Amino acid sequence: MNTQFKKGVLELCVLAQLSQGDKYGYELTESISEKMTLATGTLYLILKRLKDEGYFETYLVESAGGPARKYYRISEKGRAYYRQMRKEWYEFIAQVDALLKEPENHD
Amino acid sequence: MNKKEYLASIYSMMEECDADFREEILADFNEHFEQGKMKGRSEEEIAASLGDVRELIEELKQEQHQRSEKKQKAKDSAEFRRVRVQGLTADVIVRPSQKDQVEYVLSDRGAQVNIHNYLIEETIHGDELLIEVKRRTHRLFNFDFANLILQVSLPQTLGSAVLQSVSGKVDLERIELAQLECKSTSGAIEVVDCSGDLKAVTVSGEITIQKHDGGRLELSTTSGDIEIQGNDFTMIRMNSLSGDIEVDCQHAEMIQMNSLSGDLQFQGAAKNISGNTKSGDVEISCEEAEAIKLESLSGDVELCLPDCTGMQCALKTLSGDVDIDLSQPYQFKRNYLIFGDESCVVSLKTLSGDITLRD
Repeated sequence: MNTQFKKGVLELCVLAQLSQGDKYGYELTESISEKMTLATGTLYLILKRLKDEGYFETYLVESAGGPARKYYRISEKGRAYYRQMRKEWYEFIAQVDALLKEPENHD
Repeated sequence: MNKKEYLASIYSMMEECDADFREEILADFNEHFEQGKMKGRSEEEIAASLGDVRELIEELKQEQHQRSEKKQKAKDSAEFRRVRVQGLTADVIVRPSQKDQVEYVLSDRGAQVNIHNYLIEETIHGDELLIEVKRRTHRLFNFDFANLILQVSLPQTLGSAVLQSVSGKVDLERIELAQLECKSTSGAIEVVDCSGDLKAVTVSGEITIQKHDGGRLELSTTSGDIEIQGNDFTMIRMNSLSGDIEVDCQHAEMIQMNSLSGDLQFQGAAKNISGNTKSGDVEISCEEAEAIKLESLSGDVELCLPDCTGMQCALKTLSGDVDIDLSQPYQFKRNYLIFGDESCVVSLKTLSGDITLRD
């Protein structure tokens, strides 16, 4: 699939996951890769980009017996961006869906 | 591939990146390996599932590069003589700089969301600085709700500037450069309290110029109106297809007004005026005139010359009336109306409209 397109979709997935609650990197990659086949490394680069745009904030939490976990929290700006992206996504798939459907009474 | 090898391969992809950027990405991947190992996975397994990230790293590098470039260029404004601004869908608002620097900021009047679909690119070509608003390529879809404003400050030490927008307006105030050029497709052009030569082109937008001082003006629109107010122009040349043209100026050497269906109006002082329209009316009131040539096909032509010391005037209408109201005695010699010192040469023509001449 076209990388640009895929990256846009992954952004949307990351935003959707984080809009449900704070997550640390590994946890996020697990929850997305459970549902979707992908190179999970790309998610870290998407996280970094969205963080630099101000959509996420990060904070560290010590974990027992391992390195500290970097948690991601969605910002107000991130939520607004997510709502917009999600709206565009639903509009888009409705349009594609309509085009993919076979006509009912086709000769 | 184990953890060490995987991190080394990422590191090598990011060698030219900022240290901060590189460290942060490496730390993220390192944390991922550690968390995965705690869950009982092998380094090889984790590396394989992280996969190839080269393409995304390349893109991030480019974005990073653009960001750091922007910081530098804004400082080094002495390097260029000209500035070109391409606002795309944004309104371009230009004001003088207080710091002798070119500065700019892109903002959104409406939802702040939209602005993240755009970026500003800055490049130098020879002695020209180019500032461009661009759509980001990674956008999901081409929805455009943005209501963007690009604010630019220009130092008065520049030689010239070109300000462009496609659907936004171009708005200049107090800019005093030798040469200015403004272009918009559907947006208006507004130039207030500026000076120097000015070229302005719009398709459907209006052109409004106020308190302009000096220079040569060349203005053109397709359906928009043109309105000018100012003084001491060397030349004003205006073309419109269906828009009206209205000029109010203290002094001008030469005025040229052309429209197909719009009205032409002039008030003030100018040495040389020509006006041409097919279906519009022409209404001119002019002091200090030496030569005037006005033509309409189906519109009326009205000329008022206050304080005129004399003229020779050719008057032609096929089916309209001629109304002459002069305070001095005049006579017709061949096809000319003559009075006084005959110093002002006038030609008034219309096919089906009326002609009015007074002082």
